[in-house]
Amino acid sequence: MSESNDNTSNENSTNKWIGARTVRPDGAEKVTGRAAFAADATMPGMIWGSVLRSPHAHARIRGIDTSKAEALPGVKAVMTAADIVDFPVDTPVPLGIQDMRWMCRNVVARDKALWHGHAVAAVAATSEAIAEEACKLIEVDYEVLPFAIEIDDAIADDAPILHDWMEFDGKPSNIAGTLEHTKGDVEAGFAEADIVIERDFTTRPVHQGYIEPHACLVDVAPDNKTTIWSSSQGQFMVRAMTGLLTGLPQSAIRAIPAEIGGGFGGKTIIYLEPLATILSKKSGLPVKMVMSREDVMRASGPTSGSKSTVKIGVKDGTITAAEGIYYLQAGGLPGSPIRGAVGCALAPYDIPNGRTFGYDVVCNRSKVAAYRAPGAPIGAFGVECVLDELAEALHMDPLELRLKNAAKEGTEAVHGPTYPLMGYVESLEAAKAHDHYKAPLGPNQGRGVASGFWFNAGGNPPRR
Amino acid sequence: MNVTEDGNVVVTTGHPDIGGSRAGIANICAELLGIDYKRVSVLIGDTATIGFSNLTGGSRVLFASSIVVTESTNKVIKTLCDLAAKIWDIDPDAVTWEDGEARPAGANAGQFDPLTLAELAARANESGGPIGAGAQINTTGAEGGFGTHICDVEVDPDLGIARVIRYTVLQDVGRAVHPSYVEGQMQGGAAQAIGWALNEEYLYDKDGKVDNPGFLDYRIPVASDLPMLDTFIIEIPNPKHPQGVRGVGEVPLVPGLSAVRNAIYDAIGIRFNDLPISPPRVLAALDSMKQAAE
Repeated sequence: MSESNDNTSNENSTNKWIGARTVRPDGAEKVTGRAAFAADATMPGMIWGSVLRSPHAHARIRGIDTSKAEALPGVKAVMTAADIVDFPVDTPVPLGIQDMRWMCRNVVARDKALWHGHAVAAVAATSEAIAEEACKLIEVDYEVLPFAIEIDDAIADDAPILHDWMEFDGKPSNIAGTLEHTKGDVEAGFAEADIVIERDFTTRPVHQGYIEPHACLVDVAPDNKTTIWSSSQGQFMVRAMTGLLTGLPQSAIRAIPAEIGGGFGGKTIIYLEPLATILSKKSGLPVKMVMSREDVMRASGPTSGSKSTVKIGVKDGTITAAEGIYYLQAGGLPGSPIRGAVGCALAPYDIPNGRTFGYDVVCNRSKVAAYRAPGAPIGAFGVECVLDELAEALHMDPLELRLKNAAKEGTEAVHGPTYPLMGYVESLEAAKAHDHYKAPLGPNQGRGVASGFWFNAGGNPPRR
Repeated sequence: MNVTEDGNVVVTTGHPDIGGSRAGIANICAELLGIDYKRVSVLIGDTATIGFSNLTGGSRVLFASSIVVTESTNKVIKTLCDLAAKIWDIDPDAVTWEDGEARPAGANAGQFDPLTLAELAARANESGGPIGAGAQINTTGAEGGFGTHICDVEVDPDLGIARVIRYTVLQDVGRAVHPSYVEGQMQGGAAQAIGWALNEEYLYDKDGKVDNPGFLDYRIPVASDLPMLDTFIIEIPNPKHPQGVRGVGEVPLVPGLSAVRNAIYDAIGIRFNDLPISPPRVLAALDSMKQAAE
């Protein structure tokens, strides 16, 4: 049952099953095609939903006329933002790490289309083809506006402003928020250093790349009892968000998680379920909605693109100060993962004077969704690159430089906590000792190392 | 968790399985009960059939579900021991659970043949009722994870293509309840980091429309792009968790961007501070370097 784990530091354990490579319980159904994903779900009488998406990156919506779509034979229901609960922008409504003010504007455009591909309306009809045809018959009166996608364009003095209620430093802005961590005195720390390196970095937005597009099947009975099959990372989130966005009580909703073909954080929010719920309620029939790959890429949240500046100072190889300034793209609505960037960037190191600062910048592309350690890869990128350059300047092995400055049990991290027992030093020593690190390299070949950290979630802070 | 009348176990939890949590839960349950892994069936409930469970995300699912499964299994073991005590007419404290069966705790408790899980399950309804237990807990105590990556690349100077030729992910996972799934998480995160570093980006046209909304032109790594990604599992158990589990899935994406970029510097002497380090950018940088040298 247990194979020897020659790729682990663990001594032989007395366990029989914990640590064993047991057969995966979902293997047979997945390789034979029997596994039931959300797009496989069917119900008697089921009809198909399709979404009309904005052809403009930034536009005010002056009106929507759905009459021609409603008149097309086979169409059973049409919906717009008027059917989704409006959460006013001045009152936060948190749900986990999300805010319903943005969710209600994410699933369908309210007064503005904020990115090319933003959902504007949806239709349910007896076939996918009729539903798509009906979408084309919906007339939207757009006032096209100038747009800004890249961070530099969004924070420029003359940038088109996405939200007229958003202000920073007392004037209209696309900066939705900031987050900072500080420890000690970075100016004093840099003054002490004998080598200081400061560099600028950029990364592009990237998608989680789950192979299975978003899909759902929703059935709302006349008494509002609702059944939802969906591809999601949390059926309780599906129930809560659908209830809040449609006005149905949560107790009336049964959210069933189908087998999921990847999520990586991108399916910790919903896109289609509230639309399908409204369409099902209006038509009296179960409504199936499945995103195409193109829809996924245009309209579902990737992670942020970024620009950052990282500065690290060392004295005799010991870090005296480190600073990271990060701008992350949120997409059309607030909520980029600046927390992960500013929290994780310096986390592997024992730093006496540190500062990280993050800006959440809105811009005209799809709103970001979580992607596997949201923000942390962006935070770590610049730091790990500057450390590499410092190691070279110091004529030190890059793993040795990290070992010399490694966080351990009892280290106070720049982002706040004091670390309990953990295995960062062990990962560096294992890397140094690994065959890979000694293997010879040929022409045009090179070797790089880097480290990283993630908070890891568990539960909620204890009740007082 | 319920023990079926034919002596097997059904565990229902509320988290979707995106990375092998069902297998991990079954491993833990089988270990605690001392029964064959194949006798444990793990199901994912919906909002009507299981109590509130938070998202599968944040690298929390095995950490959190193993806490409630451990508590439920321990309650079931207590019920099984109570049932054996009733059958033997001895004090419940005089019964222990070992290797899948109830046994008298010591010679003083009396001479009784052990009762297996299957035997007790068969007699449950005649004496005491069905055997099952549940738990709903705020699962605090998660601790952060750390990792270090080693990346080797080879750069084709004529095409600008940087290829990862060897990659090792070394990470403290606390406890690898199911090593194959743990390795899978380490490899998956690294693969996504490699794609992010080398090729993936959104391309927009002059109207702000995404020009590459499909996998042909939005280039994620495919099997032929990558070598086998090697892993080294380090286990420094999380002291706040019954099995020592730490979250695994997210840490391995974090170091990869820079590991790839630092390897490319080592290969061709160019530090790329802008991602992705795609072939057109590599070629442009190599050309600049050549011109500067002339």
